[in-house]
Amino acid sequence: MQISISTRQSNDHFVVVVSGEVDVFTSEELDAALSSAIEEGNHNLVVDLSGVEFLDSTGLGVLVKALKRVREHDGSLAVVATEDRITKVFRITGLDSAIGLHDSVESAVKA
Amino acid sequence: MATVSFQFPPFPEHVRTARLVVGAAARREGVAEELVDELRLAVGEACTCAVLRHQSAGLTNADITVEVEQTEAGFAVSVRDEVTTGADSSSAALPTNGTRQDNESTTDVDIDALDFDEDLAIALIRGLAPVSDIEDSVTGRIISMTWPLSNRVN
Repeated sequence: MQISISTRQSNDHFVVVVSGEVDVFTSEELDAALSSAIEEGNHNLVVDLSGVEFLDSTGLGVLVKALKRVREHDGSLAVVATEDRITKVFRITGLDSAIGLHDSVESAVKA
Repeated sequence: MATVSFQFPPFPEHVRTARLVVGAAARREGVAEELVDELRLAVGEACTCAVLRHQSAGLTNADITVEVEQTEAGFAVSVRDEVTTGADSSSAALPTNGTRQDNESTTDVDIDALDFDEDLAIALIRGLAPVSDIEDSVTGRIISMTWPLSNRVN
């Protein structure tokens, strides 16, 4: 199982759209995409996980790492997630208190 | 159900297979369908912990062992690695509970204190498995998890 990642600009936010299963095998790819975006100067990120079927702790770890990096530049990181099986991993770990969860990219950009 | 066990090399590409195998066994043994997704995630977390611990220790030629069995308490899964660090499995950054309470954390996370891979994995295991135990010993770590059986299939 692979993941698919695409990117686009939405106003002043850089949107990273992910689909597939994000786990210990595939999370490096997401890490590389987010790291590349940040290094290119995109410090307001929206990570769209609405097409993700599975997300584990390594995927969360990648998001935490990216959040720390954008905060160093006074930036932000928001997540779009609509499925309970994805939002649940944020709630269980308490990360929903640190990373804003939204039901659409439009909502995340406006936040 | 007799105890079923399998081993896999400590590499990330095998974790998905392990969680799918255990998920299929759980479904076959009568774990409620709505719990199987959570079970697969928790088992995947335990396997991920084991893989990362083996890789950190340079133990890439020792296998990880997964055992599943039906016990009086329910569908029991254990994941055993061979890393003998004796490290404390608790974390100051995340709240953890030995028995699941409400499936959600009500405590804010200290992002800066988070050692994200293992801390998050253990938080998920604690939050997803109704009963869980993490035991470090001189032979390695065993993560044990149990789920109730609701509609046993004979």
